Amino acid sequence: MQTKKGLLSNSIFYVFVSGIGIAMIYPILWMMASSLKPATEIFNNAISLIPSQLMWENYSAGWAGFGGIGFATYFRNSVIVTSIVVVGTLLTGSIVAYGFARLEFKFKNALFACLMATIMLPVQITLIPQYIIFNEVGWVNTFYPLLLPGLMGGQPFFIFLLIQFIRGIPRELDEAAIVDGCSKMGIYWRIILPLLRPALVTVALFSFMWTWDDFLAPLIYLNNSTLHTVTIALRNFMDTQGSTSWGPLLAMSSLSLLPQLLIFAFFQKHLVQGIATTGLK
Amino acid sequence: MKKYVLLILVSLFLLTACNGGDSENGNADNGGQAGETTIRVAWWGNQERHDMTLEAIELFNDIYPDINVQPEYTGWDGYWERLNTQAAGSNLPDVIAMDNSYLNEYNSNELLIDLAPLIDDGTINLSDVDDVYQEINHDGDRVLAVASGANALSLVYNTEMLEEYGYNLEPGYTYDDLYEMNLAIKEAIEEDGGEFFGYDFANAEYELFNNYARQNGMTLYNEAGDGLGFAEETLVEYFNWVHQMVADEAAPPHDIMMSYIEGGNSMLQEGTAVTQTAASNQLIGLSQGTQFELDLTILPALDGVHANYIRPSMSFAITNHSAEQEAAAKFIDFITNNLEANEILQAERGVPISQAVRDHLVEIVSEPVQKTFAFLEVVAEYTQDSDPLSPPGETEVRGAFIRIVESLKYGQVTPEEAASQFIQQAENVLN
Amino acid sequence: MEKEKKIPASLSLESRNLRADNLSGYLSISPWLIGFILLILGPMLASLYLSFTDYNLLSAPNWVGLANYQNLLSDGRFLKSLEVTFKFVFISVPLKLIFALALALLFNTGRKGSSLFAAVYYVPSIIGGSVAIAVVWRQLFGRQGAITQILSALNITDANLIGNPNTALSVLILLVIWQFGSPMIIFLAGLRQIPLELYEAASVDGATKIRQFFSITLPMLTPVIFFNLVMQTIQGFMTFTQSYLITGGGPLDETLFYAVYLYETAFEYLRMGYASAMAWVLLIIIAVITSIFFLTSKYWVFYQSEGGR
Repeated sequence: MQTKKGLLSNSIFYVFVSGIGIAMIYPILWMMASSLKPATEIFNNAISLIPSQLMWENYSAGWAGFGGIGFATYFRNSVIVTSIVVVGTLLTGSIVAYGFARLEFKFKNALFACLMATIMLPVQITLIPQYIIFNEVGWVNTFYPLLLPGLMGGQPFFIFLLIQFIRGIPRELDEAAIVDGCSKMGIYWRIILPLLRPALVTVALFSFMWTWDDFLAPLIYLNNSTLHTVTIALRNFMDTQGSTSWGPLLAMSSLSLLPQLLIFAFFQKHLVQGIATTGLK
Repeated sequence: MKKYVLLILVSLFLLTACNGGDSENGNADNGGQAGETTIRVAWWGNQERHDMTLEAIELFNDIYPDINVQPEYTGWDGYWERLNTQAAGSNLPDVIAMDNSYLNEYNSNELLIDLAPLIDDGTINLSDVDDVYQEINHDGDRVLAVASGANALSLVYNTEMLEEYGYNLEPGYTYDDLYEMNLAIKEAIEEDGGEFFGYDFANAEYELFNNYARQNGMTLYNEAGDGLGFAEETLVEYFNWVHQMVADEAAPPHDIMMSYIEGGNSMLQEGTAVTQTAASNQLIGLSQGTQFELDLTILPALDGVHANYIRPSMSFAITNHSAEQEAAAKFIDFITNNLEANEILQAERGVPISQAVRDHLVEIVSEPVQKTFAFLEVVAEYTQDSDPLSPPGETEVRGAFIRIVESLKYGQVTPEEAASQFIQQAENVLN
Repeated sequence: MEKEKKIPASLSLESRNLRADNLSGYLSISPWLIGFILLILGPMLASLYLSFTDYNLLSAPNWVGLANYQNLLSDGRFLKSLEVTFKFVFISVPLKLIFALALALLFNTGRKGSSLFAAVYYVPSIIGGSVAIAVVWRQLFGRQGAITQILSALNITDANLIGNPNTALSVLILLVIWQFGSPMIIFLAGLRQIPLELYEAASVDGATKIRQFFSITLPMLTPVIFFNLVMQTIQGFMTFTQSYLITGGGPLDETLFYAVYLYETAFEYLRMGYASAMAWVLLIIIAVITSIFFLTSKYWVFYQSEGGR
């Protein structure tokens, strides 16, 4: 009985989930298939996912990049920036969130409102004044303007996310720790941080994704081509006024997805697995 | 206790992060060791242009070992965003690629230096350059930029199909000819069960009207740049023609036209159109992806009047923030006159403005490029003086024009309404 | 090291605690606070100032008073962009959240392959802002795109959905819903955080799975639901890339999102002063809506840490 019902619900699950899954992934398949097509075929005969001939040249031409600076450099730059921002966000973001969620201090609500307000103003507007500040300090053409946000708690989005998760952790645990003689920071380190793992994984994933995909800040701050990140390099293939180098663009776009997929594969077990093993099913 | 451990951890982390940044920074500066002066040069483009320009810069470094060129390149969209930000931060590169639409915007905000003295003293040698190529880059006696290539608004057509249906577009053909020809070809093709859309405006209705106003002896903008320079009924006439083209299906509906442009396709390339408006150098790209033979002709005549003109496809200017104007001028001279450099650059930015360079290249370049060279000779015969610089705010006026043409083509407004709406919106921007 | 705590002279301890709270409170938020003061507050105030000027990026700003704000009221495109954006937010945000929650619950059952499917569903959000996806999307819904051809085979419509003023916005809404991976991942993380003991206790009490969902899962998930609601709403108002890359605001301004018009004004028309005014109007709109969420949250959001009080 039980197994029959399970079989039925399982098959419904798999049919349903794969059906939507195909729709979800079709555009990515299209991109990867097109990255191997000859230039003339990318848009004519666009629906087909099978290239008439495999154009690996798109990959070699793309990888070569521009004027001797190849994608090896762009990937290295992106990895440097992204990994520093991710680690920084995890460390500083969780401390800041802990402060807002658990500690009482003056002007807390006003400061929280400020935190939220910063995400309500479009970045394009604060970009120019920020550029002027960094230009004055002499940090244009360095990675600092891209790294600093990660060392200052990360995006407010992440701080708010972590706050919400910390508020979901029972306070009894803190109180028990205080009885055991834990300091405020001890609670953060021993109680909150371990329990926050699913949220921290989420933050790691998102901050990786956002930093990796960020276009505006690298565009403005990294003029020197040896400092370009992958996103900048990808746009260098595009000339909407003239002609775009579609083959190499799609090839390198496909390649730039890989690190994100790897990171996801690495972290996903913390997100999805687990509950099944408890017998709750 | 833990608190301090954590603090140390965080500060250690900050330190390593800063080191990481420093080493990058060092890397970036290494390029500067070779030269005594460094100039920053910015342009937009695609992979082909970036590669060729970077190669030309290497050649420049061989010739001028004491000048180090730091390239700053990107695609079209990011280019202006970055340049405008740099302008706001008083940190513009020494040499910047300029588009006609932004030239006066930058000029009127005093961001460009006058190149006339550098031309007079020979640092930038323009002795091989005919005036028609440089006309637009002037503001009175001031020279704002040097064209790095030239083109003209043109009609690209499919020679084989035109022949097959017994038409030609020799200079002198009219707007009505265009209408009738497209209708006739459409009928013939659809009778055979084929697909045909007619004349592809290619989203260039604004540029085409600029020519139309000139054919009426008027200009798009007035001399002072604070208003429009044409009569309302001229615009109504033009809109009537556009409307008729679309309504009678001598030209495709707006959404079809846009879906081709945005999808990176072209009706001309696939044979569902025989003609399209285009900047003459677009012929090179269009010829690459098609089995048809394409060629160029000048814009339609209006009562026998022609008003074509040669314009820079893009130019190089020197900014006010530059501390190395002399070195910057040498770079512009190099791009304009050096034969070897232009061999590398392949006239990809447009027809070279120097006669010597053109003569040198004409044997070397591909057939479509040769056609663009020859076409500008034709244009020179049917030309009129170019307009004054387009005023600041032109980008916004152009945006308004495009939106109004859109609603005209969707049939939401009549040509009369469209004209009066545009004039009102444009005056709003310009005043 | 923590000896002092063993001497509880209740009054002095409390006052010391209060001070300590202020100190450790500020210490813990200091990474953000320093960054905020040095890098964000200044530019924010600068943009507020610029909203009262005619700043054009290329030369120094001149004070124009309230003119920018007054002009907004009579700017047809501005009003159009407001309308489009509100429509977009109110349709896309609830749909996206429902999808994300439903699939997170489905994947949380721990069936074999769940993590693979979660990955597949997450992929679209990774490539959200890429130019490549804009191309794909235009291909799918364009004149000869796969979706258009299916619809016309089914005789529903043979229009070019993305070029048609009546349907273009729906296509963008679909695109944004398609990228429900991010809130889904957050829901999954939220589900993982619910203590298993709660379910075990409920099972012992004989609660059905449906009851468990309504009495445990849903209430325990409310902080995360609240988070996703607030953030998706804010991001909805800020939506830029999809419209900018795919439709450019057209056709006929039917997909002219607020952020797109703002960007156009600032960087293409070089009217940064006017754009700054738009930005502050947007801030006020979002702040009002967010405040409503926060004010009502005490009636429906359940916090473990505060519920125990």
